[in-house]
Amino acid sequence: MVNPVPAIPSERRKIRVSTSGEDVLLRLCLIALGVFLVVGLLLPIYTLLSKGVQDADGNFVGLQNFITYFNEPRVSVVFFNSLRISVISTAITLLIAGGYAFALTHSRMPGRGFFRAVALMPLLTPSLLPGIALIYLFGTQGFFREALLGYSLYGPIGIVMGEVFFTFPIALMIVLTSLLTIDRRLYEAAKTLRAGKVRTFFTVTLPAMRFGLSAAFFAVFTKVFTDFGVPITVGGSYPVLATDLYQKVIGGFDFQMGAVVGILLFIPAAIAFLIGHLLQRGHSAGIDGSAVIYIPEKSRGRDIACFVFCAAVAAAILGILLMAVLGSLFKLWPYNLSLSLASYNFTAHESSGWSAYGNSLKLAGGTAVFGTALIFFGAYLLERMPGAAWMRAVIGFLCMVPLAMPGMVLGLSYIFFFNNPSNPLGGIYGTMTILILSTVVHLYTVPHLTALTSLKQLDPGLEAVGSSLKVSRFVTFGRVILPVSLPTILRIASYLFMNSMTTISALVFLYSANTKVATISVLLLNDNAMLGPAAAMSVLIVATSAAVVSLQWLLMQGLLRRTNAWRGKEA
Amino acid sequence: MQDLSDTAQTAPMPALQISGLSKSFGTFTALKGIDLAIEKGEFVCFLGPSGCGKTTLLRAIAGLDVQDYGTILQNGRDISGLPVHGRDFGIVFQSYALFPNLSVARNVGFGLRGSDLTRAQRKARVAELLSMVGLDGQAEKYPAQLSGGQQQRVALARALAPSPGLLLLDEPLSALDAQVRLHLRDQLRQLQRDLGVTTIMVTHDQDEALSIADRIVVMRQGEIEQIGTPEEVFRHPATAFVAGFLGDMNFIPGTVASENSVSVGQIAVKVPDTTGHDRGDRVNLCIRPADIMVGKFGDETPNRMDAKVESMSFRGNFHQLSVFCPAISQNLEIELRHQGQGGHSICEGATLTIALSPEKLVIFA
Repeated sequence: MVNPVPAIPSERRKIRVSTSGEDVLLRLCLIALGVFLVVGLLLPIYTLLSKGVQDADGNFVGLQNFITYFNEPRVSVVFFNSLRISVISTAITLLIAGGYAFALTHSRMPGRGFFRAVALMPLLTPSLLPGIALIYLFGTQGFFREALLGYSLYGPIGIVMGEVFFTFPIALMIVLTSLLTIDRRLYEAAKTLRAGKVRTFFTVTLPAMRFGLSAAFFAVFTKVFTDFGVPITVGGSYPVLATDLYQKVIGGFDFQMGAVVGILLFIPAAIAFLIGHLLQRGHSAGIDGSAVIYIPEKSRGRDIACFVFCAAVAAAILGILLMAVLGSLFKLWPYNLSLSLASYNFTAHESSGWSAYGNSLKLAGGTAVFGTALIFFGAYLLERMPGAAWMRAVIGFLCMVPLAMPGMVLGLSYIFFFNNPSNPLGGIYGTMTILILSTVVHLYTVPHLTALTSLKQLDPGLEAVGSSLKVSRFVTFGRVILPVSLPTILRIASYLFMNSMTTISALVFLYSANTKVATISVLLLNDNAMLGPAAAMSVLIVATSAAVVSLQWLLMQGLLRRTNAWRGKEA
Repeated sequence: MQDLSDTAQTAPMPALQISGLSKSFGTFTALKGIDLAIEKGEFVCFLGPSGCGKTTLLRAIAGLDVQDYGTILQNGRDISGLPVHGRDFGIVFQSYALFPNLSVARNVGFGLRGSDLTRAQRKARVAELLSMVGLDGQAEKYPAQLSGGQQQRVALARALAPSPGLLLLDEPLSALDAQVRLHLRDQLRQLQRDLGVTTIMVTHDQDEALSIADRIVVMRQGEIEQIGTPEEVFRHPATAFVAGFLGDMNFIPGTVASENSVSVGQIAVKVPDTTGHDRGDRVNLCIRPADIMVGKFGDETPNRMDAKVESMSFRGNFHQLSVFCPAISQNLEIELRHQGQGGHSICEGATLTIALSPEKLVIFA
């Protein structure tokens, strides 16, 4: 070994990088994010879980509460009802979504863009809306009640119908993604190897769908298992966990049993989340974005079949939405079907009147502004900050937890945590702040992942170059990272706004007389058999969501046009 | 070996003095006690295969991945533990890391905003830099509207804007097409000469390193194998690894027979000397394919032997031969220049006479 340099004797001490003010500030921001997640997520969950293993006097009793629950068939039947409903709804949803996704990607039927747009519309609705529309359609006085052949809508039939409507777009999007990543060359290879159509379907198409279908299974199952809006409207006397929890806590003030039911609601959702997560991890390597998109050949028979199928599904979705709109316009259903706007005069039907809608806007606006800033900057810290690896890993994991957290469980845990007289933060109980806090935490994971994905795509050297030029990371963040990420930020804000408008699960336990929001108002109006005004408020929510989505689309177009020059091909 | 680039005696204090630098990632040791001094105005290349630690060393100098142990002095100032923005360097990454939403002018001027230059001075400085790298008239374009070579030059201009004392280049040419790469390599060399800025470039391309550097630091498995001018490392490799990494090389295993011969197979190969090796030691004789002579030799020519051509392929300026030599029962690679064919009618299956001139043979343990 040649070494012309005389080595300077240096003592063996580990080099520590002297921390600058900027580093300290970045770490403080990271700590603040950690504190937010601990207070908004971890401590409430912990309180709930510990309540589940205590008796009414607060003594530790282990799993005794759960043993009691399952030993009482009249009680535990609810749990099995939930399981049954979830499995049936998920199976039906997957079947329809699978067929629909196949038709959209593997046929040349006309109107594919329209069918795609219609299929996503249920995303704009609160889950109370399909229930209300179904009452108009198939309820005891419904227009098509004979179609149920004498069976009652209220119960499993209604719940399954509503859940299928509600979860269809979720399943569709996942399956569609998996189908779009099939490489056209696979089909071409199959063809040159003289595989028939059926064999090609089973060896190319179905394996590609299999991942999408299983991921969709877990997503839909979780959604149905924890949904509150559909069963509360059309569940009748068929109790499921979510409605049971609501009745126990709001009707009976039985917090002890509430905690047990809440944990039961949480466990299958958590398991489904974990399996779905593992599936994702194993699969993501296969998707590299380089696939050549498949363009199906002409086939008249297939295209007609696909068109008929999609038309039927789209008609059902539009039918439910249209029914809600019509329902809101009937003067007095089912006796007087002349149209009027009377149902929209909320002051006449409910003490809170229009203020519920105003509260919803406040909640959605607050969540969008505060949530977007927090989630995007949080993702920036986690993805692009140097050092603090251990802390970033822990906080990164905490950011994933809300996905496994049913909204109702979160809401319930907030009661336990914030309504405790010894909690110094108890002051936010009953205010808009706690609604915004719970909604941000509830919706955290999906926009967090969106932000991470987008930040990962930025060159890792950007901040390093900035620092080498003696420019603060905060300046580089403001001048480069933020402008480049504007489309993502817009997407996140719109997602948060829309979902805050339509959510009810966590809020049902947390609203107060002054902070009643629109979805709660729908729930109460429906409880009081004021179906018209309930439909009217639901329609108002959908209209607002739709307006926000359109606004986001317009802004995005403008933004992309304006930044066309530097986005290059991307725009 | 004295040549013009040897500036050791003129600079009293090195621009960069690295001592005992070590770094591990988990159980993987990326750098093992690196000692290195770089003079002012030098162009140094860190050369080695991937995973040899060259990029880690560069990032340690930049403060991006700070070393676990060891010190770095820049112009005598200890920068070992300083954060990135406390050091004095400009950097160009392989990906360039240009700010996509800022125009070329704003990219180049990014590091000038905090300086005490006036707006007009900044503008003039940006214009000066752009013309220096040959990008006049591109100031208002965005990076996405430029070719790869132009983007590389924007990155270079941006790094040079605050007149740093040290320029760090992390494989700056490897993302470019071959033609552009050759052109920019020369341009980069010229620019560095003109500015006199101390420059370190990381590369895995030996041609690039040989043609551009004043000195090459050859690295392997976190250690420095050899430091020297391109001539030195190419002509006088210090280790078998360096010999094999810089250009093609034939390795002929043998045993030291005497002070100036190594026995290989049935014959004794004459070598200049075997200093440092004892009689009976197993060694490797190295000779470059282009240094093997082919033709008719007189009896006085040492190390003559017969060779049977096993395969032959045309490579433009030369023919690449793979021959088998029964005397040493081994295959050798030969680069045969057209001028030197000497009337042989060479084809596959033909038998040639080759000679390994002793002064071209290098011995390694």
